[in-house]
Amino acid sequence: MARVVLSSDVAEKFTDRLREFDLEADNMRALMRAIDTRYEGLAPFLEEHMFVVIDGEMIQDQFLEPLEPNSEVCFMPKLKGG
Amino acid sequence: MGAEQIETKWIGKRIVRPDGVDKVTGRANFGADLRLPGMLEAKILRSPHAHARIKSIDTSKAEALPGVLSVVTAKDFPEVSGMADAGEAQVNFADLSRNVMAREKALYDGHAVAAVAATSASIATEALSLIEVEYEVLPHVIDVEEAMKPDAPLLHDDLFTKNVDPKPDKPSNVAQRLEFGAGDIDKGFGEADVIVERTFRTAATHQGYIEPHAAVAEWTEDGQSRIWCSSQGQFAVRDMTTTLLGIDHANLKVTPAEIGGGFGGKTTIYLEPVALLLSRKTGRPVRAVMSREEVFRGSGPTSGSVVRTKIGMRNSGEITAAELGLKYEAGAFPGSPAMAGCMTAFACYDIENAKVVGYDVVSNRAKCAAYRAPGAPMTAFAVESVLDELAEKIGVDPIDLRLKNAAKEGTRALYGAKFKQIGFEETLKAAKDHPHYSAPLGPNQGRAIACGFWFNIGGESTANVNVNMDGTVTVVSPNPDIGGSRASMVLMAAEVLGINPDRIRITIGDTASIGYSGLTGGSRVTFAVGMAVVDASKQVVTQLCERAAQIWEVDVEGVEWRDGAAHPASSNVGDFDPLSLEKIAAQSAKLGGTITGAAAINARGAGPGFATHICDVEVDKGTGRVDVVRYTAIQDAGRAIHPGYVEGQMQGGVAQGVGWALNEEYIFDDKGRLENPGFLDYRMPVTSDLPMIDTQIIEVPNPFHPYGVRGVGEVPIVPPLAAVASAVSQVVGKRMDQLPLSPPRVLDAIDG
Repeated sequence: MARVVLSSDVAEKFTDRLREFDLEADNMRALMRAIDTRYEGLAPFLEEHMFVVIDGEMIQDQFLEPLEPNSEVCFMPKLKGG
Repeated sequence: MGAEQIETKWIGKRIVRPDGVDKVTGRANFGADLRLPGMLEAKILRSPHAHARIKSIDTSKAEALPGVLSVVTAKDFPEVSGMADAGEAQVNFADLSRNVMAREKALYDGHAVAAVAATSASIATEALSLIEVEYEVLPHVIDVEEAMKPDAPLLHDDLFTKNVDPKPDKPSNVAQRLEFGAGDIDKGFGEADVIVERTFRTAATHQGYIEPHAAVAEWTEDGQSRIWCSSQGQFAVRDMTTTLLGIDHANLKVTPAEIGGGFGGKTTIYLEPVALLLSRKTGRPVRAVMSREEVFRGSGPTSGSVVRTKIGMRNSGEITAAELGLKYEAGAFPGSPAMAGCMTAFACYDIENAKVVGYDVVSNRAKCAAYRAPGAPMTAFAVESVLDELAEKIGVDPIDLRLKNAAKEGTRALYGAKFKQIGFEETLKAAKDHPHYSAPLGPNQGRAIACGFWFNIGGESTANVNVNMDGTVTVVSPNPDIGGSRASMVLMAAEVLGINPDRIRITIGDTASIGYSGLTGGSRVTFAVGMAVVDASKQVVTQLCERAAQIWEVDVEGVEWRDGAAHPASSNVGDFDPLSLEKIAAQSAKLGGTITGAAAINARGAGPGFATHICDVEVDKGTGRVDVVRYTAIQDAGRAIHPGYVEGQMQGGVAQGVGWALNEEYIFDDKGRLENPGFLDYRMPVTSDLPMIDTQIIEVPNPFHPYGVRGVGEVPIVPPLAAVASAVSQVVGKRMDQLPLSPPRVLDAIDG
C-alpha cells in the first residue's frame, strides 16, 4: 500500500479534510487511477497543479514511477524559482 | 547514491571561469550588442497613467515621419486565451499578451501601449511623441491593502477570487486565497507560555540586474524567425513568444546572448514578440533595448507585502503554534509568489500546529516577476523577526532557540513533504561556533541572526558532450550561465572523463542546436543540467571503453576507465598499455565515427537549501543611517562543485537582501506614477556600502545527485531582511517591522 499525503488545502477541497490515506498501487500511474476512483476529480487536479515527492525525492512530472509497498507519496504545489 | 562516499579529483576546485576573459575584455556579447545589416531600432510608447482605458490610438502621424517603417499596437497581436505550459511553469497567455502590449486598458505607469521601428533610435523616439493615444483616466490603487478593500478601483472586471466559499458574485482585486495548515493552532497557542504577534511590511523591490532587457528579432520571408536576446532561458522565450504570436516552435530559433544578471526577472518576456512583429511588418531585423527607466517602470519587481505572524512558545523554547497571514502585490495581473511565501514561511522549523493563509492581490503596478527565492524573504522577515523577539523574551540564545525547533531529516513540512537529509542544524551549529558570533560589538552596534529555506527544483535538462579528434572535449549546455554554471559543468565533465578541465570547452546552445531545457532559475542548473552533463559524459566513457575494446580485440567488459584512459580491467584481459582519451579520439573515424554523448533527463530529487546568517549593524543615532559592518552567511550547498561561485552566490544574495532591508522601494506620486525609476533615486547597495561578506559552505550531500549538489542561488537572499532588521532593532530598542529601514524610519524609531 502506498501512503498518499495531501496538503490541507487540497484535502479541504477533495477528501473531506482527510490528509493521509493508503491505496494499493505499484506505480504512479496506477496510484493516480486509484486516487481518481476514490476521489473523483482529484487526480487531474494533482497532475495539473502539483509536483510529487516519493519517499523524499521531488519529481516534477510524474507518470510511471515505481512505488515500493510502503512508499510515501506527497503532493506539493508546483513551484517556479528565480 | 551517497555523495559523501565519492572521492573526487576536480569537483571542488576553483578553476578559472570559462567566460572570464570575454567579460573582462568587453568581448562578451550581451543582448544589445548584436547588429545585423539593415537593422531597425525599436522604441516603446508607455502609458503615463497608472490606470486608464485606451479609447483610441492614432499612429498615422508617427508612420508618416521619414525613417519610420512600422508601428505596432495590441491590434497587431492575435487574441490568445487560457493557461498553457511554457517551460516548467503555467502561463496565462491572455495576461502575458496584455502585459507585453496593453489592449483595453493601461494598468500601470510604464505599461507598453505601442511600439515604433525606425532607421535610428532618435527617429523612433521622435515618432513616439507623434502617436496620439486617447485615454480615459481611471482611479488607481497601488497599495496591497488598499487594493483589497471592497470599494477599491477595480483592475479587471472578470477577476473573481479563487478558493473562497461561497464563490464570490462580484469581481475584486484579490485573485486568490491560499491556505495550508497542520494540527490544532488553538490548542497549540493554549499551551504557549509566551506569544508574540506582529505585522510586517516590505516594499516591492526590483531585481536590479545591470543589463537592461534587450532583443534583436528577424522574421524571414519563409516564416523562419530568429531572436537573439539575454534571458534566463532561450526555450522559455521561444515557447512564450511563439504562443503569443501563433507560430510554430520550430519556426523560431532563439539564440541566448550573455546575460548581465536576471535574478528571476528575465524568466518572462517583454520585448521579444514586439520586435518580432515589427520585423515581420518591415521585413528587416529589429532591435529593441530598454532604458533603465523602462526597466523600472515596465518590468517586474518582486511583490511588496504585508505579513502578520503569531508564534506561541513554551518557556523552554519549544514552539507550540504558529500562524501567518500574507498579502502579496501581484502587480497588474494575478501571479504573486504568495504560494511560495505560504510554503516557505515555517519550513525551517518542526511545528506541530500551524496555519498559513495567503492572498494574491492585483494593483496598478508593473506585473511582478520572479526574484530569487520568490516569496520567501518576506515571510522569513516576519517569522525570523518574531523568533528573535521570542528568544529575547524567554532569555534563550537565538541560535539555541532555533536548534530546539529545527527541521531535520524526517520533519514533515507544512506543505506536506518530508525532508530527507538536510543541513539546517549544521548551519546553525556552524553559526554558533563562528568567531563572528562571539566577537565584541562596538558602540551603537547590534547583532542578529536569521535563517532561510528554499526548495530548489530539478526538471527537464539536456547536455551534449562531444569528443574532438585531438582529444579535447566540447560540452554544449542548454542554459544561459548566470551564476557560474559553465565552470560547474566543465568540472563535472572533467570528473567523469578523468581529464583536466582545461581540455574541455563549453558553449551555450540555441534552441535549434540542443534539446529543450527548463529555465535558468529555481537554483536548478548546476543540479539538474549537471546531472545531464554527468549522464552524457558517462555515455562518452562507455563509447571510449568500447573503442578501446575494439583496438585491443577484447570484450568491452574487460576495459575500465580511470584517470582519463582505458585500462585492462584485470591481468586476465591482457597486457595492454593504457589508451588515453587522445589516442582513442585520434582513431575515432576508423572505429565508428565521432564519440559523443547526448543526455535528455527530467531531473528529480532536488535537495532543499537552508542558510543561517549573522549580521552586525551600526546605527548613527543622529541621522538614522544604518551600516552593515560585519556579515557572515552560512549555507548548506550539498556539495560545492566550484566553491568560488557558491560563495559568490551567497555574497550576491546577501547584497541584494541588504538593499531590500535598508534602501530599496518604489515611490509613487499621487497619480500613481513612479518617481524613482533610476539607480540614483532607487538606491541599491554598491561595493562601498558593504563590508566583505564572509561565507562558510556546509556540505550535507543531496543523496539524489551523483555529487551531492543542492541549488545555492536563492537561499542566500532569504535571511538578510530579518537579520538586518533584528540587528537594528537591538540598537534602537524597538522592533523594526517595516522595510526599508531608511534613515527617517530609523530616526522615528529612535525618537519613539
